[in-house]
Amino acid sequence: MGNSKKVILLGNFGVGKTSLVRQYVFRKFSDDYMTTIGVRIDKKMVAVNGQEVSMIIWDVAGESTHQKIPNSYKLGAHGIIYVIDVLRPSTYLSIEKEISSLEDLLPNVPIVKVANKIDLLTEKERIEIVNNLPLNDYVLCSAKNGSNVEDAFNKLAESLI
Amino acid sequence: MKLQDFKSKFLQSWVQFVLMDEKGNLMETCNTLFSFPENYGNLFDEIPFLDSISQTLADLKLGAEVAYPCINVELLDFKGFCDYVFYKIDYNNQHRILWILMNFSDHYTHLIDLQQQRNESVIQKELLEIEKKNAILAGELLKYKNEELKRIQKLKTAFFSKVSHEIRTPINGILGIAQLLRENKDPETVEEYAGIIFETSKHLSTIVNDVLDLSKIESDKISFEKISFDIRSVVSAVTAAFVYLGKEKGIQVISNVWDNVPKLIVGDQVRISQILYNLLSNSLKFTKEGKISLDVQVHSIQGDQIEIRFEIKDTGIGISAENLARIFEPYEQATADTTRNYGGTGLGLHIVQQLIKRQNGSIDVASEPDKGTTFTFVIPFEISAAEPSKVTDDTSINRNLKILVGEDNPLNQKILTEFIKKWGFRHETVDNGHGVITKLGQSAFDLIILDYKMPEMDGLETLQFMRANFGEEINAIPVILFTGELDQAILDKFNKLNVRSVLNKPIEPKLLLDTIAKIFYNEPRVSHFDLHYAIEMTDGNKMLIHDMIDIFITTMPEEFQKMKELLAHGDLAALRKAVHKVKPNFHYMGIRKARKILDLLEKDLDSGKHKAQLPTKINSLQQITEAAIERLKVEKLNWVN
Repeated sequence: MGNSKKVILLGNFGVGKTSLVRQYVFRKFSDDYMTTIGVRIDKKMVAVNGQEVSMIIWDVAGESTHQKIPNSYKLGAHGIIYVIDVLRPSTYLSIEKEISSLEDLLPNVPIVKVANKIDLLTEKERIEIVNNLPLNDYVLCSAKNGSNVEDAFNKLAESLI
Repeated sequence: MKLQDFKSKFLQSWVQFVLMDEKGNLMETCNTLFSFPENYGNLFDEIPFLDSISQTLADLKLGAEVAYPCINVELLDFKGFCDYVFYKIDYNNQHRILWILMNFSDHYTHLIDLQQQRNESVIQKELLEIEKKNAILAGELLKYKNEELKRIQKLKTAFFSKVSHEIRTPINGILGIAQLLRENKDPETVEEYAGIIFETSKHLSTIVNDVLDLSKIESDKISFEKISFDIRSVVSAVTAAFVYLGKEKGIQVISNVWDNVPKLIVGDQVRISQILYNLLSNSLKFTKEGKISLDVQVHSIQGDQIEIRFEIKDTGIGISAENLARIFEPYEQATADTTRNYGGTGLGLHIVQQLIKRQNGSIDVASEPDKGTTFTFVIPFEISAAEPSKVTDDTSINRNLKILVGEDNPLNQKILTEFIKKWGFRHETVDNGHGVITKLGQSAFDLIILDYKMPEMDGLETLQFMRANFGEEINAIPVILFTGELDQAILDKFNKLNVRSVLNKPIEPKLLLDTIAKIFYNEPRVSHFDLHYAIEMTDGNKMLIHDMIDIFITTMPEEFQKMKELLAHGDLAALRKAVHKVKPNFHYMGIRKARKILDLLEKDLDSGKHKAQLPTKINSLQQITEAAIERLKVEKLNWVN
């Protein structure tokens, strides 16, 4: 116990939350889509500014809105990673509303927005899509090739200290 | 509820209870799903899930519960899905946490399959929708492109029919007048007919140049030079022509280059002139009264990179907002009336826009009907590190230039030789490369002017022969080449053969003289003076300007002689008067460098300070004046009526 932080991964189903955790914790990736039900918990120790932090990551089954997720999952969360799929507008069309509702439910809890699957875009498409995303300050990630995955979790870890 | 009640309620094979204290120390369990080893440590330390909810459990009120459904559990030797419920209870007067684990693995495993199918189907549907939308967009884009292509094709057809009319009309006119000229010997009528032919040819030349420029732009064959040039000279030279033309219409044409614009910049002087000429000519065409101004200033500067902003503003007929959007499109004019009333091919502004765009610049237009139009364009340049080099040759060499002309077309021969004579140079003319080779073996020349396309031996073959067979002395003679098809490939060919300058046909005498002066002075001809003020002051009166230059050239050496004598005698009061007397002359000739020294001299003479520096300042002034005089001697030739 001690410096443990509960981090929950939220976002629509199929956006790659489980893949991000697998890449971050185990450095593994599989192209097969295996849906998550309920929640799966993993743990990773990270050093932030010379301080050791135990990130207990709750990989929560994807839903179109966090309101469909049991409140107990969110209770006591220290940080949130909200994941979208850059290829599916349905995963980010309501992101403004979702983030705002999460901020109301969990005031002062940092939220990192992650745009996943950028490996599937060309540079031109990436610029075009990113420019049209609602909100800004996304971490552009690829769970498949690991690009920026560590950065996304580290960004959240830094804000937890 | 007491622990015993919980036990009796939940004690089933698929349920396990774990009793722990508030710090996570294990107290009791029933071992139905898994067994804790004997030395198992603190539950909060051992089980990450419990660690992450330890604060929630601490905050739980006595008698309250918190439930976590569907937890994917891998704990000790148990693997499956459980629902967790945590109760805070009173056990022997101590607060305890009772953790109930209910194994629903079968139920949840079955759910996974259903959920997987549902999610995959939704995702597939979404991706299909996106593909459909993309296909619709691609179809619309294709449709738009086809329509645009059709529209351009239609405009091109209309344009070529218009251009063929525009070209045929002046050609027929020229032929008709030429026929009349042959039949009429009356000097006044001949003069009048020659004037008509000249004006009509100029108009025809504009149309042909526009069409050729557009064709080059569209085939991406246009190239841009990167050479150091004096932007003030370009502005001054372009404006001078319009001051004169404007005066005839009663329109004032003025230009201003801000002081912070560097003297020399690196870019394509000819293309900048072309853009300015086009925009000013457009303004002049559409302005009936008022004025036209050209303002040049620094837009941004970073290191040796500079963006220069050019603004051309007129008080003309203006353009409506609706038509403004179309004016840069090729083959378009603001309205059909514009073509009827003002003529033109509708290509000028498109060419201007493309020339600017291809130099990484941008152009904007703002206009209000009946108020006027403002074109603003910004082009990036490099600031030139080169300063104008000192004059090495004196004017007497220049005026005694002997030029060998290789040109087969009798009309071009006539034009070239007439102007060469007018400028005071000597020449010999031949009509093919063989003639050039023969002449070069017979006498010495200072300059060779060659036509690219000549019979028997063309310009290229002539140069190749010269480079291969003649010695250093002949190959050091500068060569100016004329061609009807100026493109990068031709430029590259002749650059390899060390041609000093390649000029486009038709022959432009002023440009040729500029080029000659540049070769022999090794810098732009007008960089040491600016006649803009003189042109404005005299309303462009050529003779008057010629005389002003002449007076400056002849009187200034005497004035310096006088100043030096006064300085030697220590008569500073008279020297002050002499300096004051010559000051306006420098102003008329636009010799800016000299004006600064004159101001300092006057100040020193008034205050009586820095007397020791007076000879240095007068010498500097004299050097600047002499350098300007050398160039003015050539410039003067342009102002002969």
